[in-house]
Amino acid sequence: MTREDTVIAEDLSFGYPGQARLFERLSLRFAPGTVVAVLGPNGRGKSSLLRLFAGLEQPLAGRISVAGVDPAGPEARDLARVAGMVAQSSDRHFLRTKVQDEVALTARNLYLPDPAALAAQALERLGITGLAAQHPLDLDAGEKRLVALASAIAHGPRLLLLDEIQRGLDRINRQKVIRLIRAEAAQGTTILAVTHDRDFAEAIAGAELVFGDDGIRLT
Amino acid sequence: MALNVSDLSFSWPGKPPLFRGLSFALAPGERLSILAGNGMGKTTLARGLAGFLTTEGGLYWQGEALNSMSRADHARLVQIVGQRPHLQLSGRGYSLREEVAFGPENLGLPVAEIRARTAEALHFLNLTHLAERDCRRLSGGETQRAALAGALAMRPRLLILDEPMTDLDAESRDALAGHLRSLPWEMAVIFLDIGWQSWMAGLVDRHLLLDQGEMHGPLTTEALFATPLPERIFLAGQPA
Amino acid sequence: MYRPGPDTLWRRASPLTRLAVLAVVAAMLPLWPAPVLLGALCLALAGAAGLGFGRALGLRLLVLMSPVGLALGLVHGFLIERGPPGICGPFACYPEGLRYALLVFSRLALLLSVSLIFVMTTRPSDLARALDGAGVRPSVSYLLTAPLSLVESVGQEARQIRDSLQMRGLSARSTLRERFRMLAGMVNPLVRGLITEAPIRAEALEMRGFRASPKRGLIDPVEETAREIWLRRGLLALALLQLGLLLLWR
Repeated sequence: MTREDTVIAEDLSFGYPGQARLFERLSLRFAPGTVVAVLGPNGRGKSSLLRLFAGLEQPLAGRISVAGVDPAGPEARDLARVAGMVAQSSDRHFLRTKVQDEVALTARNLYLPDPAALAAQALERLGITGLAAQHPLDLDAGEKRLVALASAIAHGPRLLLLDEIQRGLDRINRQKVIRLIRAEAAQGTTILAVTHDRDFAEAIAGAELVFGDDGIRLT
Repeated sequence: MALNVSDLSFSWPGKPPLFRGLSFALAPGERLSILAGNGMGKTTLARGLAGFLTTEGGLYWQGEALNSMSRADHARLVQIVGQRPHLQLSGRGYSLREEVAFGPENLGLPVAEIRARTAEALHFLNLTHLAERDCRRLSGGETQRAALAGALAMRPRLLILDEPMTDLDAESRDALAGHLRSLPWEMAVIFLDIGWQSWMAGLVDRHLLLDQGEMHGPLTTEALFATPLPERIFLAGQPA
Repeated sequence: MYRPGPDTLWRRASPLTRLAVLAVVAAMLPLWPAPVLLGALCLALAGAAGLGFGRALGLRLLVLMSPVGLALGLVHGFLIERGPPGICGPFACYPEGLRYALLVFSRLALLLSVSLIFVMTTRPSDLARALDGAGVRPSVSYLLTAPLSLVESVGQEARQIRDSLQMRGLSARSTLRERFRMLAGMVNPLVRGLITEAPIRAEALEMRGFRASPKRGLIDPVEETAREIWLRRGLLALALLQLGLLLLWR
């Protein structure tokens, strides 16, 4: 049985108004379970690519499909169902007063059955069940990041977008993140991780998307 | 010795001590790293060492207690660059150049001196070409460099960097590391980080470990790789 | 709010001189009758056209002042009895009330348009620097300009929160109820962020020597011609003169 690629981008062009194009006619396909490290210097459009897949920016030209959903489509909830994201600011924007409710929030917004069980499962997979009853703002920086990651995976997305998820994580937390990424990939989740950290990229990724001086290369 | 830390302890009200009995000394111009895992109080320690917290114990710069200094002397002595650099921009300047000049302006320095320090700090951080850029239009990495430039323009004698390179790409990291090695004035640097990072090679060779509130070390880089470390401490270049 | 535009005398002038013009206009309001004020309003609009944003200013004035004008006319012209009634079509109206409405309207419109011109040509940082240059205490000039510069960073944070909510299944693009839920969801992290960030910002300012000495230096010192300084003094005198006349005539 062949499954369709989770992420399809065709002839994608993007740039911010009044600035040079970040990329032009970019085409990419990622199969289920692929882990891609997105590398390259600052300001080349790595984070913008994630934002395009997240439906937070509109391409100037071209087409994107994430598990069959157009991220720029009219109903943002359709994309939320198939994608999860940990942005650099995610661990500052908690909305609930208990970790377990925070992690269950997306599933609840999407009216999935038994959000509490999904949240408990996500916390367990990251080995942070002990934090469930705590206030997210009482956690240390590493724990906050893990909670943000648990919140992004609890509803079972097909695409996981990570922006510098390893930033400032100590060895134990880093290992937790790496283990989770590998487990998610084994389940068929496609993962795009923007990172400056070569060691981290090598630990997680089967493919690298490099934003270099001579354009964008996939290796 | 320039900085003398003796038996320094701190706890938030009603909480167990975050660190206790820290003692170490720093020579003028010396560079030192303090490595600690998440939740071990790195950011609080940075503020404590800079004299921004009411800590117990002694904290002296060349015999003078940090918390009895005048505002101006304190600002001339120590700068911290933290993990959220955009909060460190004053917002007083429109352009990056004005933002970097904010500190020297506050010291009431002569115009020529303000300009020289600003130009120099922009150069150290590879920001000269962005001097006239609107500060609110900087990217994450540029903002981190802007905050660093703002601190260096004060020509501090002690710089405390709390995970200073997290948002920088390899090119900017190398450039900054190079300039930190060859500053035209004597500046001691304390790097706080979650572990040994490859840019530290050749830049810092004395490491302290902070774990569960206790300080261990100092260790040389060689010893750092040879000794069993607290399990949270991370060594770049080693398998995860 | 700031709009770049062609280099003109107005833009070259110090923000303080522009502020002095604003003072003259403010002092005009209680003194002069509606025709004079409306004449000044036309001048202000022509000035804005010369500065390159006549249309934008006109539109803003129209949006902000039309409901005000309508309400003033209705209340003072038809609802409140003032002087002998007259006939306006099928209704009874009060011409004196209408004249009063016109006066209030022209005062508001003139003040608004000149204030907008000031804001649209003056960056908060330029005003702060001009105040520093004039020897105003740093803490005072900061207090005057900080809210203006804070607006931008709050807006940025709000956009990030909106994005993260959208990724978590709340949509700004869908129904009114959803949008309301989204807005309600944004308030908490936004306010919490402002509260927790305030002391960090304050410490960062202190660290960079803010208020360490009573007078700041400036990387680009304010250089003013003697003529501009005299002009500003003249404008301030004119503002005071108008206030004096007002007291005299009362």
